[in-house]
This record gives sequence, structure tokens and C-alpha cells, in this order.
Amino acid sequence: MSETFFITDGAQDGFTVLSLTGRLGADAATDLRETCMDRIEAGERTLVLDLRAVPFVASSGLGTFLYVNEMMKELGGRMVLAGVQPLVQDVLSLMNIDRFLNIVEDVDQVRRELTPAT
Amino acid sequence: MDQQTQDHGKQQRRVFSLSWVFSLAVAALVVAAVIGVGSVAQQHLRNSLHREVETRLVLEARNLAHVSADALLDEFPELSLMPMVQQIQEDRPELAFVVVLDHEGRIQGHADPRQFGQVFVEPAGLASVAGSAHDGNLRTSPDLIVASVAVQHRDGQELGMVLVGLRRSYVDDVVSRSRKALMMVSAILLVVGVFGAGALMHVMLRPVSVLKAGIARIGQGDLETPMNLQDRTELGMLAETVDEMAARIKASQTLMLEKNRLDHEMDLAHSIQVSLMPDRQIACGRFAAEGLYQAASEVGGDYFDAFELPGDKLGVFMADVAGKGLGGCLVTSMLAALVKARRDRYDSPAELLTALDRDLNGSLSPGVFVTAIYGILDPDRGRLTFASAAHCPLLLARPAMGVVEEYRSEGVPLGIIPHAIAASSYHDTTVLLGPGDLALLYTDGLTEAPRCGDGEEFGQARVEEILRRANGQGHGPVLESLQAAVTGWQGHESRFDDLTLLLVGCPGHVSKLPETSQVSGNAGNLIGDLKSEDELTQLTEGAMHLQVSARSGGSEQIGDWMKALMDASLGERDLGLLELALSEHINNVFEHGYLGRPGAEVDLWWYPATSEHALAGWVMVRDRGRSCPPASVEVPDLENSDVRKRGRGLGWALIRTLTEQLEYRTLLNIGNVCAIKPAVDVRTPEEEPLHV
Repeated sequence: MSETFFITDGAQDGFTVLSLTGRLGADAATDLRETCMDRIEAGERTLVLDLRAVPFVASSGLGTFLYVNEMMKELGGRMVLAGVQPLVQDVLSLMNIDRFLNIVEDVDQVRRELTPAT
Repeated sequence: MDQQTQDHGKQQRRVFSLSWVFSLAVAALVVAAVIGVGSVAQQHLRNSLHREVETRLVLEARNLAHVSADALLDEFPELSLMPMVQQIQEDRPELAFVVVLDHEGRIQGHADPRQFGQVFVEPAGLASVAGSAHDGNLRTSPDLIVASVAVQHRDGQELGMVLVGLRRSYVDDVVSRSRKALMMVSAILLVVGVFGAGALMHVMLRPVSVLKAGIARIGQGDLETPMNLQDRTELGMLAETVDEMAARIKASQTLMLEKNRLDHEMDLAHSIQVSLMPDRQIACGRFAAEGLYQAASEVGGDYFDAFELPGDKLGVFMADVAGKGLGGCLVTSMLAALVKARRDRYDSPAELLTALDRDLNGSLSPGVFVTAIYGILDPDRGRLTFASAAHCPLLLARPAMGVVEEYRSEGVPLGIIPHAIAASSYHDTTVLLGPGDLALLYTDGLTEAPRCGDGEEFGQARVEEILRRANGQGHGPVLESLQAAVTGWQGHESRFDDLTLLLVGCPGHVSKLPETSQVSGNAGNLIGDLKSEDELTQLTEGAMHLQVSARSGGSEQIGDWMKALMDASLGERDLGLLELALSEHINNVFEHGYLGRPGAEVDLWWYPATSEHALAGWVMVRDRGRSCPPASVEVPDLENSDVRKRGRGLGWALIRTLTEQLEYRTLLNIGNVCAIKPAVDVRTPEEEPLHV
């Protein structure tokens, strides 16, 4: 059984959601890094990676999260991981890198945080 | 000296003209024939003449006796007999006497009338002729031949006797005249015969002089002037045969000259070709390249070179031109010049092959193509990067592990198909050369060498076996071993193809592998004592096996395999984490151990926790690439933002985090073996379960 990884690029109000689907291995991590860099170069400063459909993240994927996160911080923006699956969350925690990342429950949480209170 | 003696003897020897010899021989035969025939004819003539004369003499006597019978009965017989006898004597002067006697023996008829009536006295010395047809009527003496016939009456009464004498001298005169005539005719015949024979011989043997002159011309080296002898005898046929022989000699001579010229050119071409290839070891740092070229029976199209490149690198090139002889040699020389001109411009072997293909495209004759392999060795990093254009596989011997890796070409031959298509087929491949490792470049003259007798090819397996035993031998002995093996394989048959070999590597014997063994946790020594593939097979008996190929998508393949195993001892979370650890290790092997080699493979064995095996609950991974133990890289310091920004080195850390025990060893003749005991219910550093 071979899984295919693909990225859906969706612009929301004030931020961009990249919905990832599939196993985030070495090749997929390269694609993700290039996509994120394209969005950053396009001026996006809030990037949400929706990981609801990502059951597996390899070390290269973790490295991509850290790299994009550091890039966004330098540019005054932020990267947010949403919908992180339990196994992926375990890996982030075991590697003790979740403390460097912004992890939220889902994309709506980001939208709520960015919407001014009325 | 001997030659001069022979020439001198040849000059001294008398030569007899064939026409003269034949003419004299024929003349002698004619003389003998004429003399013989003349003698026989003369004897025969003499006898015939004698018989004729005797017969006529007897007949004459009988005739006279017949006409004298009546006369003797007359009263005066002399009156009729005397004139008759006188007339006979006048008509026949050769007769010595003619007499007619009466019964008393008195002369009644005689040319001399005075003899009438006298008793006839016979000449003395007359004797009968023995064996004569006229026996009784004929007597002879040395001077006379006398025929005597009785004169008889009709009633049988004897009346007298007629005697006719002929001088023998007359017969001798007649015989003499006949002999003279015969001799005259014989002499004329003799002269005619001799001259005729001489003329005939001269005419008949005239072609001999033409033949002699023609053969003398051939002897002097003139093979182009034919004799053109128009003769219908055997001599004419002989002349034609000699003309044909001269033509054939001329053709053979032309062929021989052409062959000598070609041989000379071949020798020259061979010298040029050999001069293109290095005859010594080319060293570069701790590495070296050394080649061997053994030509076939004719000039072949093989070529190799080893040279220093900018940046203290070493270049190795080998090519095999399809097509032998001068054509192949010319292409080889052209290729050597192109490589020399372009090698410093390209850091990528694939790019150099692409450039060569562009150069050769359209320059080669139909059916001619070139296979080639080019490699660049970085001695500092021990990396050999190479690209191949349909050349024989590069064999990489790792004697320490007892393995020989094969790298097949994916490129097409140079100069044979459109350049754009060819260019896309050339790719660089990088391999690591450790201590004792040897990379062998060769042409098909090695593996396709036919065995004497049945023609079986030497084959790649035998080459690999020799390389596998080559630990620490150095380049020269390995090359000699390969050459000796192929030469022995071929026996006494001449080489049908060039034998071209080129070894690249770091000479040295590896009796002990680098210290790469790592043991973490309480693993102890579970696999460190493995000595052979057989022992590994024994150890893995009963375990579930999976072979992962670099092309098959390693991590996904492992995930599917593990889900299928469904080991009850591991929960879904633990299985996921183990899958991640194994994927990280295998990816490291493919990336760093095999340097991305497409055909690389890794073996996995899973020992179910429910089994009674010493490794129950463990996973074992074996590869044959470069040693890369999981603990060889430091755990990245993620507190450092620069480290986080690089985002590298997390794989090693993941493996160590996700495994409870780990034993990694590089084993002789087996490869790298990593035994992993997965962590069960592993928790965060704060010992707090993250999820339930």
C-alpha cells in the first residue's frame, strides 16, 4: 500500500492554511519546505499547517517544522500546527521539540485567536 | 659463397639446343631407317631379279626347245636352227651362248656356224642349283647360269637338248644398276628426311625458345608480360599454364605486399594505442589506479586512462569501441584526444560523457559505437563518482565484508542515438571506497572470454570471486590474478578480444574493521560473534523477513509489513514509534551507507515477542553499505536556534529515543547489522504519559 502526500493551499482571513495529506517522509518534507518558502516569499506571515490527515512524520518532517518556524519568527510571523495526530504529537513531545512550536487543536482555534473580540 | 659457386657451375655447364638434339636424333633415325630399308630392299631385289632371270632363261630355253623339235626332225635342221639361234643371240647379247643339240649331243643350232656338227662341250664348273624352282633345268657356275631343256617329240621321244647360257656379269650389272638406283632414292630420301626432320623440329620446338624467354623473364621478376604463345601443342598449354602461374604469383605477391603494409600499419596503430594508456600506477593521496591492457590478435578498440584532475582528484576513464582494426583504433585515438581536452572542464562524469556523445554524434561510421565509463575519485572523502555509457558494470569489491557490489550502466552508448536522448541517460553515481575496497573497470574481453573447447564465457561470477579474495593484495597482484585466470580459461586459443582492466582503490589489507560497534541499553553481545552468512542465516531462522529496496519506498513498506505482523506485545502506538525508528535507520543506510545507490537493499528480521528466541521482541537490520552507526552523530542541540533552523540530525536522535536497546556492529563477510529492541510505552522526559 503506497500513500501519496499532497498539500492543499487555502487562504483564510489573514492567514494561509496548508492542508497536508499523507505520510510526511523525506520527499514530502522537501515539498512542504518549498511550498512554505513560496508562501513566505509571497508575504504570508501566518502559516497554519493542518495535520489532521498526517499519520506519520519522519525526522525530515520535524526538521522542516523547525526550519519554517524559525524563518517565520525571524520575519515576525508565526507557524502554527493544527490537528496534530496522537502519534505525531508523541514524537514531538518525545523529541522535546513541541516546546519550540505553536500547536493548536484545530484551524478554528487560529481563526478565533485572530478575530478581534467584539 | 654457395650462391656464387652455384652461379659459376650454372655458367660452366654446357647447354644443348633442344631443337638440335631433336633434329640430330630424328636424322639419325631417318638414316638408320633408310639404310635398313635399303639393305632389305636391295637383298629382296637381288633375289627377285635372280629368280626372274632364271625363270626367263628357262622359259626361253623351253620355247627354243619347243620350236626346235620339228626342226630336228628335218633333214637339215641347221638350216632353220642356225638363223634362229643367231637371231636370238643378236637380240639378247647378254646370253653367253645358245645351242641346240641333237640326240647325239652334236651342235645343230649355234650363233657360230663353224660349230655345226661338233660335239658341244659344256663350260666347266656348272652345278645344279639346290632348292630352285627350276631344279634339273638350271645349273650355275661362277660366271654362268645355264638353262638346259630337252627337245621332245610329241610322242615323248627325246630329240635333243637346248642349252641357253647367261653371263652372270649381266645379272650383276642389272643388280648393280638397281642398287645404285635404290641408293640414289635412299640418299634423296635421307637428305629430305634429315632436312625435313630438322625443319619440323625447328618449327615444332620454336615455342620452347619463347617459353625459355618467358620463364627467364619471370625469373627476373617480370610477372606482368605474358608469353601469349599461339601454339596448339602441349607446349602451348604449358605456356598458358606458366602465364597463369605468373599471374597467380603476381596476385599473391600483391596480396603479400598489401598484407605486409597492413601488418606494418597495424603494428604502428597498436604502438600508438598502447602509448595512449598509462603503463604505471597513478597515485592520488592514499588511493591509486592501475590498469592492464592485453591486445587481441589484432588491434582492438579498448582504451583506458588514469590521470590527475584539478583539486587533487583522480580521473579514471575506460572505453570500448565497437569495431576492431584500424577503424576502431582511429576512434580510440580520437576519443583519447577528446577526453584529454575536456576532462578538466567537468566535475561531473555524466557531463563529460554528455560532451563526448555530442562530439562523437555524427562522426562515427554506421554501426560503430562506443561504450565508456568515467569516474572521478575524491581521495579526501573516499568518494568515487562515476557515470557509464552502456559500459560493463563497475564492480566494487569490499573484501572486508566479502561482498562485491555491481553497478550496472543505465546510459546508452556514445554516438549512436540522437544526442538529446543520450544525454538524458547519463547519471552520476557515487560510491564510498573504504580501506581495502577496490573498484574494477573492465571491458567485455574479460567476462566474455571463451573457454578453449566449449566456448563457455568466463563470466562475471568468476571475476567477483577473484575480487572477493583480493583482500590486501594490492592492485598489481589482483590484475595479474585476473589476467592469469582468463588466460588459463582460454587455453592456447588466441585472444578474440582485448583484455582491459583498471583498478581503483586504497591498497591495504583489512583484518579488523573500524571500531563501529555500538551497544546501547543493556543489549550486551547478541550479534557480535557472527562470523559468516551461514551463522546469520542460522540466527534468523524462524524470524519474519522483509527485504527493502531503495526504490520501493522504504518507510511505507516497513509500515505495511509491521501492521501485517500485528505483534500482540506492542500496542498501536509502540508499533508506530518502532516503524518510525526503523524508517529512520533504513533511510540513513540508504542515504549515508549506500549514498543513494538505486539497487541498494536492506534485510529486516522480526522476532515475535511470543517466540522463545534469544532475540524475541527484537528487530534486526542488515545492510552491505558503508558503516553508519546510529550513535555516530551527536544529538543536535535544539536549544540553539541556528541548529533548529538547519533542521538536520534529528533522525539519529529519534532512533536513540525510540529504542530501548540497540546493538550495531560491522561484521566481516556479513555487513552492518543493527539489532533493535523497541521501547515499549516510552514516555516524555517528564515521565508523564502524553496520551491515554
